[in-house]
Amino acid sequence: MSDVLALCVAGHRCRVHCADPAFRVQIAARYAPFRDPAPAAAPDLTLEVTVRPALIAVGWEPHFITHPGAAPLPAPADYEPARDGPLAGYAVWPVAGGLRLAAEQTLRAELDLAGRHGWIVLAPALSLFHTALRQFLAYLLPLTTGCLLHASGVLLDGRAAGFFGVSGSGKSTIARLAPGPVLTDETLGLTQAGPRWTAHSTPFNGDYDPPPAPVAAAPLAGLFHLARGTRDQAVRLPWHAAVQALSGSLLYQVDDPAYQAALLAQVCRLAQDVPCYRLEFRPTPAVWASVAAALAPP
Amino acid sequence: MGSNANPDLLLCLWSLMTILERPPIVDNTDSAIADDQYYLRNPRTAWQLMDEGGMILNLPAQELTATNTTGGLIWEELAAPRTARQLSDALAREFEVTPDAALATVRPFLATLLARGLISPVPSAARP
Repeated sequence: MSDVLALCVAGHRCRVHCADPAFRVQIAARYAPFRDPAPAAAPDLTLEVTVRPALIAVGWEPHFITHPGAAPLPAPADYEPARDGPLAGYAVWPVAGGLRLAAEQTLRAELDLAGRHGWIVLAPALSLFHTALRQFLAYLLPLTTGCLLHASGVLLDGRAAGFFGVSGSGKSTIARLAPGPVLTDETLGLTQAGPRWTAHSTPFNGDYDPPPAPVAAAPLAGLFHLARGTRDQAVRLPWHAAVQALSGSLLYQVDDPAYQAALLAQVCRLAQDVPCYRLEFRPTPAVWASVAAALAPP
Repeated sequence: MGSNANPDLLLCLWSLMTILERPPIVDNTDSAIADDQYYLRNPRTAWQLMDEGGMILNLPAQELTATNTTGGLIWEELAAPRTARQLSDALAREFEVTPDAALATVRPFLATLLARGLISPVPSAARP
């Protein structure tokens, strides 16, 4: 059996090399809906995955945001131990020509931007592979044609609607209430071709973890900024407010000026091309009437 | 001001900036802006100007500031050191307003950009 897996995630064709057969099987199983049936000769991203059960130390070591043995930073406001697991130190920072990231002694990863090549050294936990791939995509997409949005995605009459907001705003709730297939309950991949945007399913799910969507991608019809309320109402956001709202829901940002400028450009175009609404909602199926009315042709 | 001044433009000038993240800044008024002081964009910014207006990002603070298209025009001018007076003259050339009328709106706009760390005064030695 080859040690290579061909995946397509958020429109990015990835070739994953993993010499560890057990871990390769885990990736293959979890990423089965994202297998690339026609692998490209030149993938968008090549990943070399090395599994190390023991503590990881490489030639470069990070300055952790939180560090084992050091006084930890306060937990994020939306931290839920049952859902998120124990707090782990995580750091990501730009380096010349790419990116590095690390999580305690369990993950080290490096991305060469020009070569579109990533190296991932990790403990044998699939969540660490998710973490590295998600961070790489969050960095690469804005530099090409898109972004990762902290959003759930639902298919409605063949088109996708995205529902974004901070943790606890109702992304998974909306996904559970969906009258159609769910693309994701946590992380929506968005790519652009001219003024048209496409919403992609991703493997990076939240606490709902919906079954695989029947399609990997669909045209993006609208975006909804979630706000729990006492009624169901969708109000169109002006461009400035849409950019502001979307900017608060971008995942895994990197402190790199060129990347930040590219990300801002993507979000400004997204808010220009795709109608964006503030959706006040109650957690009942009645919310879909408001969503459908917003997305209906004028 | 000319009698044929466009009222929409006047409204536009008076509301150059929409402040989205913070309440209006009250501790840094346009009195801080001297008309002959040169200002320049800070390098640690990113921006996007579009038909709908503009968005300027203060990179270290991760803070977004929105402008309308007129504010976007001023921002473009600030690629090189400019005084409030020079910016007002540029607006007057572009739109049907007198330089003095434009100056009354350029000052608070510059004050807000300054307060948000988006521009800096240019030392006299570095002026053109």
